[in-house]
Amino acid sequence: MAFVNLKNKEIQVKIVYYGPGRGGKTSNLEYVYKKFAKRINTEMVTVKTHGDRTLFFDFLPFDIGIVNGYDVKIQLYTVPGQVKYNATRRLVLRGVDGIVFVADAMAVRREKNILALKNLQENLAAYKKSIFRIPFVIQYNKIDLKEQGIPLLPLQTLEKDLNSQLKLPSFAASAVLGTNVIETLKRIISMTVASIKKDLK
Amino acid sequence: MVDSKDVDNLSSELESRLDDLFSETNGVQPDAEDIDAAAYYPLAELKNLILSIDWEITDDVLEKFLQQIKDLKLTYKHDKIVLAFLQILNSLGNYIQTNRAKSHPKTFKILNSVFSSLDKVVLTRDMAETARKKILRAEMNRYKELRNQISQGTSFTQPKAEAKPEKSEIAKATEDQPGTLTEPSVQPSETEIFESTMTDHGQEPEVVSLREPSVESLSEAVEEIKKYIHDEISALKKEIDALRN
Repeated sequence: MAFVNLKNKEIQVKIVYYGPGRGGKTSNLEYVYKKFAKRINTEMVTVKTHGDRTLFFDFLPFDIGIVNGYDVKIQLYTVPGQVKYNATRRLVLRGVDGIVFVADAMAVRREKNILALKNLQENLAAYKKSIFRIPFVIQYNKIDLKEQGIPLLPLQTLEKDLNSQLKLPSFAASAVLGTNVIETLKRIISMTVASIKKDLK
Repeated sequence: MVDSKDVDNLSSELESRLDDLFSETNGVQPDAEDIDAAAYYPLAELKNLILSIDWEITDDVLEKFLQQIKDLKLTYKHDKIVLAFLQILNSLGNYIQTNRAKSHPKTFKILNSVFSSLDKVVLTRDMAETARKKILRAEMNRYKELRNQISQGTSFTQPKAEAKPEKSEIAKATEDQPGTLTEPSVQPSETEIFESTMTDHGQEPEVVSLREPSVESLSEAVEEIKKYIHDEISALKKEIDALRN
């Protein structure tokens, strides 16, 4: 649930990048950080667990500034994509306001995408949130790999697999090159803030 | 309650604010200097790969990691200290490639620690040779300690969710098999070291002769360090003798 302080006119939203392991969630945040760190005046934080190698999550907070009198703060998170870290994923989803699902467009990752989306639905349900109602954008990442001759899933297949029921805004992207990374981010921020309008009215 | 007009304005102003904030052409771009510095940072790719290994161990990442070390060995073929660091990273990479998630948990800490020290040595201009050697020695000691722990089959805790490797598996991995940490400070009498290159296809480990320039350089670096320590001790002894007299 977004933090809205009407007295101080402050809005804080939490957006989580979700998806299968190695799909490019961290690369999305890294691109935003590398490209705009100075402009958004922030630090990217990577939190690790103790005693093993697992990254817990990435965290990129930034302040959009005063928008129509409201100080809008955005918090971007990633979750570990590996199947075994579901508890961590569920924890990071607590209080989420918007989701970016980063799907891996590589043909060999088709099943992992579907499983990750199902997993997201289950984990959201644990917080009594519906995948059909939360602000949500899908990103089909790694389109740049086509240049290297790596088999990718056709966009129609990805849409059919992941978006036939949800009917969400979707972007074909390359997190490494930055293609549609910012477009994805702008869309999810807009959608999330729009959803908060209902709470404010 | 907030005025609904106020809230509607919030949305439209947000759109325009986001356009300004994330425009490719307006506003502050990363400093040209920063871009140049990043472009010429020789360890950038290695750093990315270590972060990737931290996230998830995959064939692809490990192959790139080992290849990157090979490339850097060529770049730094005249810098014995850096070569020694790279050799440690190479051994750790080979060990992780074989043991994957069953690698000793300290491996990843040491991998990061060795990289941080290498980073310091490479990036700090005008660092005295003695200081560089001191940093290398510390990392080598950590590496050796880990290697000893693995070879002695010291128990280590795995995350609960993972299956704990059987003792025999650890022991098996330490009998000069692929997956064993190799000795980066190779003694001249030891004529070869094993590069842990056993693949899933069951290939035999590749034996790398010490005659190869990179290993030779490493050996020389270690000898230099030994000589340095020996000289230091001799000097200290002389000072003590002088004080006694």
